[in-house]
Amino acid sequence: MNSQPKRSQNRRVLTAILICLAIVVCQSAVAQDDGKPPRDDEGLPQFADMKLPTAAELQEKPVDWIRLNTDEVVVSEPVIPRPDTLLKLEEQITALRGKPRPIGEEQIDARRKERDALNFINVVLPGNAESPEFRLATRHVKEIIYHEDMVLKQLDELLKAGDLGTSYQLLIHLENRAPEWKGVDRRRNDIFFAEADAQREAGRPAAALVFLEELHGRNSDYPQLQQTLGELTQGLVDDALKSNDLRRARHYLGRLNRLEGKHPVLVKFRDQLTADATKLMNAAKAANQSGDYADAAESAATSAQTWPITPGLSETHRTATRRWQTLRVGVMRLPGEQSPFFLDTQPDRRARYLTESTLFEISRFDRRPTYRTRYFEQWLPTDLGRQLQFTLRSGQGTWESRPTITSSQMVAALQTRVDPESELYSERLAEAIRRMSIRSPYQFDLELAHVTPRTEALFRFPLPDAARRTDDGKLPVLSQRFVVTDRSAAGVTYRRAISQADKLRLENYHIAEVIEQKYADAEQAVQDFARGELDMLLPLRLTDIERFRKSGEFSIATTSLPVTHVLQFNPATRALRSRELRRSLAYALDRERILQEIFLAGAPPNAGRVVTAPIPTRHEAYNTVVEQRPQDLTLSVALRLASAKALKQNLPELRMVCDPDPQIVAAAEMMIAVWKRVGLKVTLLTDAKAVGHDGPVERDSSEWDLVYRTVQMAEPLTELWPFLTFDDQVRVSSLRTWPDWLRQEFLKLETAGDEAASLLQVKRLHRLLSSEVMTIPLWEIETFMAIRPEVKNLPGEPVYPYQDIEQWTIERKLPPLWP
Amino acid sequence: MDHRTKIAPAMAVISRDSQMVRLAVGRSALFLALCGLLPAASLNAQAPAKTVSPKSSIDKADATPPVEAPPVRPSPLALTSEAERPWELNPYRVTVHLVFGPNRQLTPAFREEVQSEIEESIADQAGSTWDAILHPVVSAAWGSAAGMGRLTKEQLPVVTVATALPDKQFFIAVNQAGSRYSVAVREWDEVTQDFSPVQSAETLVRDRVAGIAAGLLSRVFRPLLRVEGTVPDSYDVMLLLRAGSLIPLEAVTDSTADTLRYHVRPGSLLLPFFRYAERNGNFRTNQFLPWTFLEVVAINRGRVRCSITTGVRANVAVRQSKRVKSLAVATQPLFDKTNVELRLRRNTDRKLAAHDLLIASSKKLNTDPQALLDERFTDRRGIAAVPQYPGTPIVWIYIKSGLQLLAKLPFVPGLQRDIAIDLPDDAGRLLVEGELAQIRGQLVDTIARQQAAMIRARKAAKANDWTKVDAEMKKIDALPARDDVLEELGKHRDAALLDAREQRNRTAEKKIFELSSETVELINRYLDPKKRDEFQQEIDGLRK
Repeated sequence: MNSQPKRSQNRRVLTAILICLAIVVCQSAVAQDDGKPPRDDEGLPQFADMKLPTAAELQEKPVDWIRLNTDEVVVSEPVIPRPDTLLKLEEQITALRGKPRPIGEEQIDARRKERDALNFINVVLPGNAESPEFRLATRHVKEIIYHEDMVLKQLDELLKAGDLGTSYQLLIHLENRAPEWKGVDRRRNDIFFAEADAQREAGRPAAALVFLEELHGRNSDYPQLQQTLGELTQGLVDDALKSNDLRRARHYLGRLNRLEGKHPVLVKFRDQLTADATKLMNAAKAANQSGDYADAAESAATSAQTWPITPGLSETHRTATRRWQTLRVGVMRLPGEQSPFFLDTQPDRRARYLTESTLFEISRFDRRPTYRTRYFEQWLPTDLGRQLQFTLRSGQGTWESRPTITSSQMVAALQTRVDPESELYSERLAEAIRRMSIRSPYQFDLELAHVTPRTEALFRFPLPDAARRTDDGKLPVLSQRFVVTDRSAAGVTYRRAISQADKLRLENYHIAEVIEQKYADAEQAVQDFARGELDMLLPLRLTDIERFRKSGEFSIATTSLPVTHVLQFNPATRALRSRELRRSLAYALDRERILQEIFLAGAPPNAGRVVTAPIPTRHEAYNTVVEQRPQDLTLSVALRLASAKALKQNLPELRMVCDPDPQIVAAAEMMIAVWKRVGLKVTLLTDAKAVGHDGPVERDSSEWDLVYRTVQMAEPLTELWPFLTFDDQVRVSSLRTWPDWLRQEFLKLETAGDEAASLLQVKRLHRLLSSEVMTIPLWEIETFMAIRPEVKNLPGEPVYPYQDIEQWTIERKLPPLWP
Repeated sequence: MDHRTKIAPAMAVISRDSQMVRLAVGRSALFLALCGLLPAASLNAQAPAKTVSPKSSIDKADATPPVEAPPVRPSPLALTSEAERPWELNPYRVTVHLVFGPNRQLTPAFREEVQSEIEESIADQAGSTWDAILHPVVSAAWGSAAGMGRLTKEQLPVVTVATALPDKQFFIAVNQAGSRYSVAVREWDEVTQDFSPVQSAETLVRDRVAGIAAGLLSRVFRPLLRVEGTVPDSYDVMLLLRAGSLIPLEAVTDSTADTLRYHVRPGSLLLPFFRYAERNGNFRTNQFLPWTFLEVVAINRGRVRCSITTGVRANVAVRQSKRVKSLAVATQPLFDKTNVELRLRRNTDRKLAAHDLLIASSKKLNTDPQALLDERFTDRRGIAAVPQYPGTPIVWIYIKSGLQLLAKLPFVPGLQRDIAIDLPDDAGRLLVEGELAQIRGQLVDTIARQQAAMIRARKAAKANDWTKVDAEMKKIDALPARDDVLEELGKHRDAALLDAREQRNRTAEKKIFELSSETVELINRYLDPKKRDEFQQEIDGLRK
């Protein structure tokens, strides 16, 4: 019996020795971990001397502090279990005690070992100590300061110091390590609130709102959240209202509404905006009654933007916006922008279609153009086509925006086109019309000098007003469709030349106004379009097509007439009269590569293709037998040398002007780089500095040698000649610099008696022009446009972007209350 | 019926349409007509005429001579006075018709004043070279510049002076529109049987009307000359100016001299023509020599020496006989420009547009490029306007189609308002020229590609890269061979030659053949299969 107490006493002594040894080892390990050489005379650090690790240290390697009863601290790698290690161990011991007594030596021994183990904490000293692991009796431990708590404490310190960046890092560190740690949520909310505060202080209230929204989602009862939300929303809405951005104001109110539906700020603004909207609605009603439809539509639209659910607004809005419909179009370039380029650009052609209607216009294009006319009731060819009897329309549709034209006006207008002294003189028309006679106010006859295969094409021009002159002494257009009412660097506004009559049924009203709004950033235009601030994007970037198609929200329209890109030569440049030089320029180009890299990157299939003529490939006159000219740099060099030899001089540096479209400029630069490789020097004239004066270069000058232009040629029978010669008057003298045989080929086309012969001649010309390299046709690209679903009555396959715009309608709906 | 029946002592005016005799009833008739006391039909009748002989012969008191109306117009071959007086001493028998517009401001006093001044001017300027009679006419269809332009031979008033028709008839119309007075004048020549162009002018000054009319008379007056023969050892021609001996010698070179009397001066232009008569001496026809002009070199008492410029092989001094007279008429450019219209000879309805006209001062432009004055281009109607070139009244027009010269003609710009030139069809040749241009273009490409491939193949062979050599040789083989190109050329050439032969256009045929031969030569030279074989052998040699 005596031996047992002695044995247990010995065991206690042994344990004490072991603990002492462990403490010594631990101290030496901590000393080593601090990087200080362990010294026998140094003990463990005192708790009071311990400094909270920095954020960087905390993120490096987590450690816990084990505070001993002696107030000394053992720095350890994170202990397990955690948190509340001591409590958990105690609970486990208690639980063990509650278990049934073990039976047998083996079980007793195991139970004892298990119980003993729960009296210790396994400590792993950080660093590379020789014996880093040991056990520490729990009875010596006063408390354990966990790494996570230290992080939280550091977070608090950082938040106090306003270091949000580091706070975020620590929070993320903590969330990754122990997302459920007590105090993490609170710190996260604190950070959000602090961040919101910081953003607000930095003048970014919208960003602040995002944090508060997040905070609200986590804890809507967070102190001062309601008040801050209110203040922030108030500021944001006030700012939006100041800048007249009602949609933005409603957007912020909507966000507040989603968080706090009865927030006093929301209620205040709701009342205020409802009152404003009501005022505007009443103004719209008054304007509508007084016939000021544009103002009425504007007031109604503003009212709807102010507070769409204003009582009675729905009907007023519908009436006003149907009576005066405004099409808002996002464009990248406006017509008439100044540059050295002297020919029409795509925006110019777009504007011309909008502002001028032609006697005969192309209604459809499918292998060949189909014509129609708004001006003639009927036109009857007699005498085998040599006589034409025209009957003018005495009335017009309610949607039309053209003047009623009488025979005398028509004949006077035609006379201006056959008068050699007139600026609108057309040698072709003058030669074709032998006699004009008026039969009645709405009937007149024309006697033609010869039968023309496509009479409509001959009369595809706008009518000038022969009775008036503009301020600059020019003949104004009589057959106007829309007129420019406002123009600035930001956009152009067009309105109907002749407004629709009053007192029609609402559904009979059509677009009255077109506003082209210029965007420097295409992405911004897309965003505005998606938000409903634009009705149409023109043109739609090829890279956006798939995105829009996938959304299914908008319609994508393609014009049936592609835009063909062509290089042309100045007839006055002597060097370029050398066929070898022209061929050298052509053979140097890898058109397919330029097309794919510059224009078709990200485009849908069949959005563009290389061509051999300025004629659309789907036109029946396009000669498919003509082969593409591949890139052949060797041949290009050989031809350049041959041309220099023929000219008996060094080739001059050529000057090139191009359409100012950024993509076209990029393509031109690529071409110039390739030409440089084959020894052809070409300079691109992009600005006034390069040209030496403001505005475009003179067409009939030697300021330029090459021009990169675009064209939409629907009727090569009549358009090919003026296109190739840069001569709108289609004078024979414009062919003068061409070889005689080629002149005669064009004259043959002019005098072809039937359509089949004309087509054959165009095909022949296609072959000859390609062989002679009179131009360098590059590629054709389809034009896409995105249209919002509110815009209706668009033609199925428009030839031009604004085709039949007088018949389009916009069914404007009230905007959503909370955008 | 003898059309030369004497209608002495004065004159009659007959409307050819109605064949009615309209009597001149003198100033009293005019007065009554103006007062409305005479029937309107009487207004068509002429006012009394006056004989305007040199100054002293103007006798206003004797203004109402008796009138006899011949039933028909006398023969235009009224050169009977030739027998009576030598050509160079024979003055022109001239009738001047003067009409005023209906404007009330052209008062009788004004009319009388103008008439009187014109009479005096004629007497002063023409002197004894004209036997002129002035006819005031109450109204006429030709009473304006436009109406005068429409005047035809059939509408001419039949007037006889003494025993014959007048050699010249002048028509003067004076009108007023607003504050402007307009005067139009035109000449009819009985010998050439044609009208001069209408000349008109305007003035705001009432007193200048008569002066303007007299000035316009001298512009439209075209003196007549008779060809006497050629100058020995020279191509020059001698002519005799009608009434030339009546012109004082010293005034010929004086530019300020009376314009009607001294119309023909050194530098003046003459148009030669042959006048043919029937067996009975009646006029049959006139034949003007095309593209032939005489330029006065010297003049001495009516004897005129001229140089000749002609685009045809014509001798103006031959073919003189009793029934054929070789004459010339002096003329001057009255228009700023002449519209030259080019037409296809076998189908004059087809106009030749887009043709080049080179205007040169000599016919040797090929050797003298400095002679080039201007370049013109025909429009859609085949018309090119050729203006006058100061110092060069006669120019040469070179009409070209491509490199082909279609015609080379002398020409006086401004002599006529419009002129047409008929040319051979050159379409076939142009077609071939176009096709040959294509073939030559392909030829250049082929040669360049072939040479480039050969260079690359040689380089590869030297580097022992036989795979690349084979690839380049394949490229060379794939290029069009000589026979292919020749076949293509032959197809176009043969079709064009056939067309030219059908049209019997030997010039075109010759040109087509020449053009294609040049190209065939190029093809044979550059696409010679032997060269290709030699290159193949060279490569094979390197490969071994």
